[in-house]
Amino acid sequence: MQIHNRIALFRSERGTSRRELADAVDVNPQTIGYLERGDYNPSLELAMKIAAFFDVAVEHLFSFEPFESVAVALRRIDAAE
Amino acid sequence: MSLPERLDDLARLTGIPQLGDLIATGTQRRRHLRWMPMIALVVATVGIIAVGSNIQIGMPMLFVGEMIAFWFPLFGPIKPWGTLAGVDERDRQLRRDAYFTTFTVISAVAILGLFALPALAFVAAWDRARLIFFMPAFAAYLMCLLLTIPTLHASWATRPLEDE
Repeated sequence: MQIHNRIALFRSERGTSRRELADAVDVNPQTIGYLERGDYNPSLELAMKIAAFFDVAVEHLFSFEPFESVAVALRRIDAAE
Repeated sequence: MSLPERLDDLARLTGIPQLGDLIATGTQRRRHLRWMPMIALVVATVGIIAVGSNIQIGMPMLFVGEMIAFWFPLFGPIKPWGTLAGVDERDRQLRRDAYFTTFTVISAVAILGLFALPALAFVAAWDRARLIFFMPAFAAYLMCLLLTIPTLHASWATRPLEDE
């Protein structure tokens, strides 16, 4: 089953490189790349380490359903206002 | 400069000692090798088939395939079993999947070979010397599969990652 994630978004927002995140969670930088592309599903341990690194709950980073894009989220917020 | 130091310098010029260090630390750049394993496999397969009829053509082809295959564990995407440095959970999963496929294929080929060898020897009326010569060639072919299929599987199972 495909697990969707927002690692690239969080990483971009924090200005963190793949290597910095990889070193923090003790994997290879390539593994972060494969995770972001959705080619690899992380173990629970790795998912929790990444969530801890960004200081968010695991479900904010990983989901069985595709995440809403930033553009869609902004339009939704504008419409609500 | 003493002779041993000169020999050390010569060895360093080949790049092999540095390669050993990179492999030991898990920092060696590994690549998707999609076509070279196929070439090695085709050459070795044609070689093992040719061994049955023409040993002078079959054996060199088999060994050429094997010589190409010897480089795949060094440069392919699969990190060696004994390596712990630089091996993370994705590397372990990739290696596990690749070797599972490899051992399945090798088992199937070995079982097929066990039945095919006596049958071929009977049908083609091989003498004992030819059969004895064919058996180590078949073992070499299985060795070639062991060296080739993990790299082939891992290279096609994943897409190369673009640089950040």
